[in-house]
Amino acid sequence: MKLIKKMDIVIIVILLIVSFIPYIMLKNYQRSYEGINYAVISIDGEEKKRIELKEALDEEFTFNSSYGVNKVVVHNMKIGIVDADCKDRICIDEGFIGEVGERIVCLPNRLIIEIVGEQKSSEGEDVISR
Amino acid sequence: MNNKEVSKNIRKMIYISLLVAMSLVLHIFENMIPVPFITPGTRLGLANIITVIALYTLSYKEAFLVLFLRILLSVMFGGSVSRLIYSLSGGILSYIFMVFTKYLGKEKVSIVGVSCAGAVFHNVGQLLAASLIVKTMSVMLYLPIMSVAGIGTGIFVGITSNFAVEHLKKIFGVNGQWF
Repeated sequence: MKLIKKMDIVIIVILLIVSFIPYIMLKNYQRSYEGINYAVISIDGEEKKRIELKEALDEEFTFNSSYGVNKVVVHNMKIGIVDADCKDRICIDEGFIGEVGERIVCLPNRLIIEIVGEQKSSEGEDVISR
Repeated sequence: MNNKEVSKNIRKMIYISLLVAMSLVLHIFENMIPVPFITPGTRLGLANIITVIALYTLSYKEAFLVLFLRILLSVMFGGSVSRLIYSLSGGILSYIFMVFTKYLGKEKVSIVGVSCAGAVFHNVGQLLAASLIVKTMSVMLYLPIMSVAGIGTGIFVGITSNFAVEHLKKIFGVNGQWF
């Protein structure tokens, strides 16, 4: 009996392709949210500000609360914390985020930045393709 | 039942229990080998060697018995309920797809192909159970890297069990048709 046959290689290739299906599905799911992304900034679980991540937006926000001060910058459709008065400064190391589902958490200052998306409507797509 | 029939049944029973015992030893043994991998809980799948051997020397029903007993006993000897859920979902799904590829492929597919299918769908089953438990499908993103590793060990398992089955055929015959 021959050890490895032609069909075995076919099966292995099929299995490899199958294993990438969930990855592709999740990427597509993220892409369907690519319409408008919002950055929701909340302090102590309470929503403070909702910023639309537009291409032309280049702004700086400062959030003051009883827990501390965070300086947030929006740039190139991404948002990030550039300065904070907390000790560990992990939130600054997180860098800039822009994909749906990503988040930056500054635990000492109880500040959370979360990217949420709005589903692209089919009408909007038609306008673009026209 | 004549004497010959009885002795055949006893031989089969001893063979099944030997397979279960060997797979348990392999299971304990592979727990001691640390696997250098990113994902926790990755194992070599050495116990799958026995499942594949059982699939090629016993009937489908008896091979399933070997797999089921192995999972049940390995959890009894040191495991938790969550381990049982993962093992069962992975084991049963991999068994279904191994039978499927063996049945469809017939002579065209060798043991290597069957064991690779088993290894990959073992991962699929475990990740499905995990994603049901933590309620996020993002666990499935581990699948590509786990299947690549699974195919690697699957080829190894296939080659190993191929040698074993070649010799066992001389003693027992093929696919439950015992001498």
